[in-house]
Amino acid sequence: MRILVLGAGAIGGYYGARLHAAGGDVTFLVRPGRAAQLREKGLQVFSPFGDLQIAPKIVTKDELKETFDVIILSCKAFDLDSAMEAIAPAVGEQSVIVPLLNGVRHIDRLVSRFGGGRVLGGVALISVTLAPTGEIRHLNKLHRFTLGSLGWRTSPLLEPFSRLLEKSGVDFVLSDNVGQAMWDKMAFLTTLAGATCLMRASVGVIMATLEGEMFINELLDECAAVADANGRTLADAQLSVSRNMLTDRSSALVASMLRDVEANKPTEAEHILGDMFAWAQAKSIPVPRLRLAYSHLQAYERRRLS
Amino acid sequence: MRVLILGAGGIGGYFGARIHASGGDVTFLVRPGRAAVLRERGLNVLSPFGDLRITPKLLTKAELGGEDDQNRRFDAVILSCKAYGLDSAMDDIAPTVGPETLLLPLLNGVSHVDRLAARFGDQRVLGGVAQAALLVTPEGDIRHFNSLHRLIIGSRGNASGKPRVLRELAAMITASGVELVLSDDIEQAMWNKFVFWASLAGATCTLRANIGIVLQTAGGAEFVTGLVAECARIAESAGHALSESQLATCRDRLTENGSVLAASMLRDIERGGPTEAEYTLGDLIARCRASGFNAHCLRLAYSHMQAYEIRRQTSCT
Repeated sequence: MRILVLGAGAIGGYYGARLHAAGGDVTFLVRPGRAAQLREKGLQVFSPFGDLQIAPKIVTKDELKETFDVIILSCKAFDLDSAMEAIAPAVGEQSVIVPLLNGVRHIDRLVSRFGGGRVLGGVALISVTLAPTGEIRHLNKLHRFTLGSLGWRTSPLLEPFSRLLEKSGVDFVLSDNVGQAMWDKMAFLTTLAGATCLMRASVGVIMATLEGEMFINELLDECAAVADANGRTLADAQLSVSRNMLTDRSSALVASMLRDVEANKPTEAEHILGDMFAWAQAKSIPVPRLRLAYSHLQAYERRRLS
Repeated sequence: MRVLILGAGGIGGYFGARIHASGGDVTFLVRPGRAAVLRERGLNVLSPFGDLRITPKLLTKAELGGEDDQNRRFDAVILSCKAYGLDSAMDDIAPTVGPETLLLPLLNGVSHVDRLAARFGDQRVLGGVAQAALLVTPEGDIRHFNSLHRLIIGSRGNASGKPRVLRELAAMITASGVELVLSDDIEQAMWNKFVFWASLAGATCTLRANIGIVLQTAGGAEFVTGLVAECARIAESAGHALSESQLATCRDRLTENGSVLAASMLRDIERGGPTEAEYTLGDLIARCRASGFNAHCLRLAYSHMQAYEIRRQTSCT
């Protein structure tokens, strides 16, 4: 089973390195600059679950001629078009694509390009960054990888790929309802990104303000209501796990979207908050908190582009 | 009459230079660094109403004598510091305040009036509103970038003020060409501006963008009008309800598509500086609490500023 990982950034680099270390046949599709860096220094991962130093197999876009069995996508949503372009030569008759993007909207785009039978559902729960010097730093003690069929057909690759993931030591969950897992994360992430970007501060700092706690709770409730209206009701246990993380007074947690905002970079706001807001409007669910948080990011994008 | 102006920033520098240029006896109380710049360059004003280049009379804190030094007394002191600088401003001007001295504060908000009255006595504190868009350039000159330079002043409701000094001050300001409105309800004028200012600051800081951009977002217009309604309600419970036309003017300016208007507090945030949030938005929140009214938009805007201040103070230490 040959695995292609698009990019060797934070998420792709982390899980790709774990799969490689577990004996998987993993190739990273990277830009020439990153390829040179990886050839020189290897791929380094620093993690509370154990550091890794691997010599990865690398291919650049021009060199990509063969097809792969499993293609892992972890690009930013706004790069999905060019990512689809890049992996197209690697997609063969039997290939499956495992997207680890935030949100849910990318599934439709992948399915319409590559066909429903080729697209699995995936969710990565991890806090990880790519350092400017090229190494990958895992920031928390969570590295869950949830995988599942989206219901078009069950690929024969699901089983061997699952075994490899289990062997790699990541917290692997084979889900028979991966669509729900995607919505669970979407509700959590929309709340985290919405609150920490709107307030430009971590969860702990927001909780120290007058309205912070109520804002976070109500935003999470709005997102849960939107999920519910889409037939993706968050289980009570799931909702309370999210709520506890999002209202932890000692938490320094921020969304990576806030880091993007502070670096004046493009964000996934449209893909995450914009999509959640569009679902809410389609289902006529009042979401005043979400609307304000989304407005903050819309204003950011307008200023960034002007 | 001798007038002392605390600071030579945008408002103090502009109006002080106008009064000086028309022959008024104006002295600026400034920090040593600002004094050096003003001695070297003079005080330059670039304005659609005519540029000015004056050689200002300057004083620094160290040059002020003790409280018993009669020569240091002024007839009127104009304060246009930031609200968070008021305590040190009051210390600085203390030696200049004699029994007949009038104080004219031109700060944002209303809470400074009580603080000044508690320190110097209710009777000598006027109310004032300055209306002009002013900036100090990096070189230290003052740029006036709209066609409005109005001062609204008056003695406050229950304070008789010092009618003779007030008349002289008014005459001096009028002679400078600045538009002077002598208000018989200055507290209302201050609240009118406060409602506008707080709504502008709340919206443009929370969304970190000017009014035109705020209005282009999904929830911007609703947030701005929500803030105006909440601030107006707080003004009303303070006994200073805005008139229909005042409220409409305020709402119109804050919902004007394409407007590049943004609060100076947003500029403060963007350079990582201190802000007046606690004395303005915080003051409104405290008034809400007292009246049991839950101002959602304002509470959120205030929380945004609290988060900013927490982060700023953490990164300083």
